Amino acid sequence: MIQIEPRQPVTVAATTPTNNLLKHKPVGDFLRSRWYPGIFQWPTALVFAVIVYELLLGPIVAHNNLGTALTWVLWWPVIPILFVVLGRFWCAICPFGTVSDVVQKFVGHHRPVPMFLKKYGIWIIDALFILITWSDHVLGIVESPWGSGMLLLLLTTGVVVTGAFFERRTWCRYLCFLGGLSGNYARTGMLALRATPNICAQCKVSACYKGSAHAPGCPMFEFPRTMTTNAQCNICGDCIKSCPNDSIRLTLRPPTQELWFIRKPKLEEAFLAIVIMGIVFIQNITMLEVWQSTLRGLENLTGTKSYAVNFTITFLIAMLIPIILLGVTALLAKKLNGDSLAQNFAKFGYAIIPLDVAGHVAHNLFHLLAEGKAVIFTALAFMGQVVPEASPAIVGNATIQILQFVLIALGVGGSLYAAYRIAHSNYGGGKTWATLIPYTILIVVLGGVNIWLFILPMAMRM
Amino acid sequence: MNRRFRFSFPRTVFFIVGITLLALGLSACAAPSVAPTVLSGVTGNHKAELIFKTAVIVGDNDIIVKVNDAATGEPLRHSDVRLKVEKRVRLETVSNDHDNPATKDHETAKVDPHASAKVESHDDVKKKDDHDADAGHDKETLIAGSIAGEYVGQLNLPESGEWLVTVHFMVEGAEKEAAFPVTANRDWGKFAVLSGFLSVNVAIVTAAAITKSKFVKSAKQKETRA
Repeated sequence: MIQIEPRQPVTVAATTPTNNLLKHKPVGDFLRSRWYPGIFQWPTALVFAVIVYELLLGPIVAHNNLGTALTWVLWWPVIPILFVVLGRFWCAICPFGTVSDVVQKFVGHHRPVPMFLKKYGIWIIDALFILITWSDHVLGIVESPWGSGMLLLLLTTGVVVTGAFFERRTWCRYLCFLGGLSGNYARTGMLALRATPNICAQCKVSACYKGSAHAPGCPMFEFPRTMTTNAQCNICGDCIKSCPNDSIRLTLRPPTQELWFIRKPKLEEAFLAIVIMGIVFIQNITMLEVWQSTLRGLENLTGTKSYAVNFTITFLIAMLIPIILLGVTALLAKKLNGDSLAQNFAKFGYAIIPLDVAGHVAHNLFHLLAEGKAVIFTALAFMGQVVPEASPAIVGNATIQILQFVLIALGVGGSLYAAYRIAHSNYGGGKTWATLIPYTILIVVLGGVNIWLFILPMAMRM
Repeated sequence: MNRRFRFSFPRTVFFIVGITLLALGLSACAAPSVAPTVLSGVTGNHKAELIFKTAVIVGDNDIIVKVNDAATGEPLRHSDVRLKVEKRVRLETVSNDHDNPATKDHETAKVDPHASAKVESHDDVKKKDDHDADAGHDKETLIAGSIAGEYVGQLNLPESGEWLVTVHFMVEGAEKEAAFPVTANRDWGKFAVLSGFLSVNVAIVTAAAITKSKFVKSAKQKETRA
């Protein structure tokens, strides 16, 4: 882990009392009520049950399966947008979290989290994320309802084990691959929960961490008093309910603001950020219509028709390109700002996150808008209704492409501005601009590759 | 020798791992074959292949029909490929040789009103009305897949037993057909896998419940000592 103290004082989300959403009575009362977050959590769990049932026992073809449509056409494209708007709120209502809570309530041992998880948790998440993406392509998880169902069952088993034996939400914090993704994306989130340092300085009970009669301690192992990031806060409201001093504030802030002031950049988080860019590339490449001909070319080159072998080669190249590009850029920047390669990699890896989010949303926008009606069609079929013979597209391809370009432009803008702020807060003066040059080139190149991939025709998921 | 067996954390982990391996092992044994079932044969100048993505099961089966020129291997593009499913009643008259499609014998097969072939495609997203497909009397059209000469679809076999799947395709205005006898079996493997997962999770929860009181007690003792 690399710890770098910034030159300038850290500024977290704007925290004047007027923008504290908890001061608005309906919002404050709702978040403090016993109904929150259960009012969202239980319906989500019900939908999850339907999804699992459909994936495992419903139609075997993705095209007709409600579980596939709800998971891969609706949820997966919408989830990054949720992270940008509401931070990790999804994690508070995630059905896996609910399963963990229920198992823990009845049979939980509440053992301390093993040290290796605390130490290597994010690396495990990085590895799981890469492994799941790879196996999705090789085993066809998304395309097969049964495969998607198996993935959910495997995750459920992991959640049951951690819920049964370990304290709080060990799974969500240290093992969930989506948690790693959401942790990174939530840094761009517009909703920030923080404590008021002046009030917390007088506190002797630490109810936000330990829990109180009103609510348990933070399920994500966070201590709001010292929390400076959205990465692990799922806005479950427990600290709001437990705090006897009314210290917790919920504020709105500009998207990506948190990235401008990363206090302790971590190499593993920066690595995940750049790995996500590679994953966005591979998701795009394999859905392009030219993928099949590329695969034929690879088969001729490698002399094997094994999809696993040829895909793995493509996968490794697509994953390594952004990592190498960031590494080379960090090497150049090292000469300009005097920081080490690792420090540069760790600090500026965070600047890629807005482009990650934009690339992820833009890619999945195609599925959401070109196949969105499949959710309605499969739901009708699930309820035994006649399915209309119509295109599942909500808007045309031209409109989707324009939206994709706009999103990538926003992502490039967000990343460039984050890189500028990171450089400015760490170096200042002439070094800021000198450092910014290689990172600007990197971000523009990554944005350009995304745009190029979106120009090529793409195949459908459903 | 009279010592009472007690659950400890390592024993619990050992117990869970053991149950998991046992359940998943049993599930894997009962799981459906993931290897595709390939039936092929030559009709006229063309070689037709009927490929089931897994074993032939009762219910929906993903299928691919490949048609190539038998001599040159050139794929048959833009053809009208249709599928007809019939329940076989006199098994002895139909060849079971998978390398040679059975000569279609109308006396050996009868149309089952519940059998159906549904349309599916990688590049065509039109939703086919299941009600039409479920009628099963008419030949169902398959749609060209992403690879030349491949036509993809879904075949529904409502009950176990012997079926005759006839592939009809048009070559230069003439209709050709190849019939493939298949045997559909119930897919118990799916339920075995689900039972495996269920038993693993039940075992974990049970183990946690059994060892919980002991763990809480020892944690309290440690606390008191501290």
